Amino acid sequence: MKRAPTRDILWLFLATRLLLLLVTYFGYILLTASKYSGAQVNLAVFFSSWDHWDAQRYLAIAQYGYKTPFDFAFFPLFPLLTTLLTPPLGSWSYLIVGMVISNGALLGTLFVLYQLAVDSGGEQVARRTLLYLCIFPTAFFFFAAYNESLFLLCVTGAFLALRKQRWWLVGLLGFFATLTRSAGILLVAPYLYELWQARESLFVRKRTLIFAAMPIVLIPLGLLLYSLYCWKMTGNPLVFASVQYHWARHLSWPWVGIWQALFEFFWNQPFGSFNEVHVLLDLSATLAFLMLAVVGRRQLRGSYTLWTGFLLLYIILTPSIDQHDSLISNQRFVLEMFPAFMTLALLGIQKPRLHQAFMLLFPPLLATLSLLFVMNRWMV
Amino acid sequence: MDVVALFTTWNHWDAANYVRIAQYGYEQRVDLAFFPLFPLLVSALGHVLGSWSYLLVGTLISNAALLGMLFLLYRLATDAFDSLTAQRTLLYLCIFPTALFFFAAYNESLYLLFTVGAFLALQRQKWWLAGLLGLLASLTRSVGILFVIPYLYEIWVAREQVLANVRGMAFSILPIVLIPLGTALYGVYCWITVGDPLAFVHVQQHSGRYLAWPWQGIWQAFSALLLHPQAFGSSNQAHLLLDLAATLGFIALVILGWRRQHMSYNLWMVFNIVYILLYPALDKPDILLSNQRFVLELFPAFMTLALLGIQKPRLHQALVLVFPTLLAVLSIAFLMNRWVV
Repeated sequence: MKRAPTRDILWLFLATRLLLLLVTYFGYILLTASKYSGAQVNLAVFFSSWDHWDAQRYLAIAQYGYKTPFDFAFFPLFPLLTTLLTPPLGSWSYLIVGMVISNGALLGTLFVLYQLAVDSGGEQVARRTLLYLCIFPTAFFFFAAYNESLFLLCVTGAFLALRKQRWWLVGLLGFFATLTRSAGILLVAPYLYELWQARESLFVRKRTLIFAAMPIVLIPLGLLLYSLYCWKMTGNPLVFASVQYHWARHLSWPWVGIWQALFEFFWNQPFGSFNEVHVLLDLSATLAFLMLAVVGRRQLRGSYTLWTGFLLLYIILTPSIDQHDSLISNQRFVLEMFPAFMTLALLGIQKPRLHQAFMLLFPPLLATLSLLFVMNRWMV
Repeated sequence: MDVVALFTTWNHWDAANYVRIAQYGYEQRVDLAFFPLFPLLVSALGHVLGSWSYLLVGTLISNAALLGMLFLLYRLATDAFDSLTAQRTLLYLCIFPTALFFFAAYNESLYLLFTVGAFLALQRQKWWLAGLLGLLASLTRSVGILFVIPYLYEIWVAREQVLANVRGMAFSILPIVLIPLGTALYGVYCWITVGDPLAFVHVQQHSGRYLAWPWQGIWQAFSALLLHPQAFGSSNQAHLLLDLAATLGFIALVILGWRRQHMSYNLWMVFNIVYILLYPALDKPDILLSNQRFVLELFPAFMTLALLGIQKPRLHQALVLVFPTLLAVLSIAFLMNRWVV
């Protein structure tokens, strides 16, 4: 496979980090400080402007461990890594280490994803894939202390290992992915698919087959380990699933969440309401990625489409039906569907106007949503 | 939520001033700092449509002028360079961090429409058209009068053909008087209304602007950032950074483009920059106040930026990432009614 162009990737990475820093500095100050004021904004607040929402939860877990049952909804690998790497310098160091891990994992993901995308569609597709992933409206979650980029690193790594048929490595990375986010367990599907694809070379001897198939157990093992931990701590091995009701998530038919979002958007919410805006973001992300999964199924490997499909099914089956924004957080979850970004890249190359529209719309939306996050407005 | 507030989010700062002048006329002396053509146009349409429509009309005129200007600028940039450069020029102009002023009810895009049109006419040697557009430009913004300089330069370049006979001379040189005529007309208006033909200059002191040496403002801005710095994370620091970066960035663009651009552009931009530096807001903490907006008018510099972006793809990539981001941030600050001029 072609080696990734290190300098271009680094440039993209740094330019998008700079972009988010500019948003933080200018956005926070222009929206907070008063006109012609030489007074400093509250620096403690300013420097903790990325310490909001789930980032706060992960960092609290990293610092103090799992305290309430609701904490168990947050899978352990990211806070664990943060704990292990944080020097004992006080609570601010957790924020820095958490963000360094998140950004470092993004950089790693970019290199791995480049190889996957070159393999699928050539160099130009690969470049565009990385670009779109970095400027996607919710890509600031790769900058904040969230586990999204660590998860993507494990997942893309697992896919690369699958392509090279290094089954144990796949199992190991799947294990880490599952320890990072519950959705990691879905890696079982592409694993089985690739096993089946390689059946002719694997099924000839019993030993090779067992050797290739065995590592798959590592993937659910991650979940099992975490269950054991939950059991030990709370007496309920499935506490991470059962606390989801706290966010009003319930297992439902796939159309329930989407239908409710449509109903809220077109009927229930008055124009210009908070809920309307969020429903619009989450609904369009969900529907757009459904379309991308369908459009891309012919160009991409079956295992990729399976991954996007299962992830979509997973988020659509567990909508937050007691809330107005039933598809809550889908605008973030779609970040994990990396093959859909390859499809987006293909489409952008086929239609230059579409590419131009993305280039004009994605960065301002990214700036707007990250500014909301920085200003501690509801953004998950 | 308040839907009215949602729709008046663009009715802030000078947009509010222009819309108010359009609706009620020049009410106070300080209003005279705002040149008349843009509010006059808004007023003409607004009178027909009714009192609710002024903001909408102002916004529409501003955006329509932008659209027209883009077509003209494309012609200028393809004439001077090629179509790729022209496309990039338009792109950078539209995503520039302060390009929000082409959307709001400001006179920037109307002014640029006349100025770009005047340059186009000048290059085609349509002297009367150039003069007429220069008149409109100087009725839109005070800085319009500087169009005299490229006009004189182009006459000088075409002197052999222009000065060949008396008739040609009259036809080409005479229209130049139209350009200061715009300023003079407004001066007469000021004279009649407040008794001071230079009232539009004198009220500048209201916004803390004074005549100074061109380097004084830059030096003071530097000093306010580095030597006697404003507190880190203060509103002044953020504004100083934006205005100083815009000022220095465009000075650099003039220098970098010197050999590749028309000399009439170069001269015009130098005079423009000197003009905005001659009146720094020495009384205010943000000394180079509004320069981040004024640089929008230096359209040839955007061509230079386009040339640089084509030479260095990494620069282009950085610009298309950083510009829209800053544009979003500044627009949000504007529509949240935070200080952005």
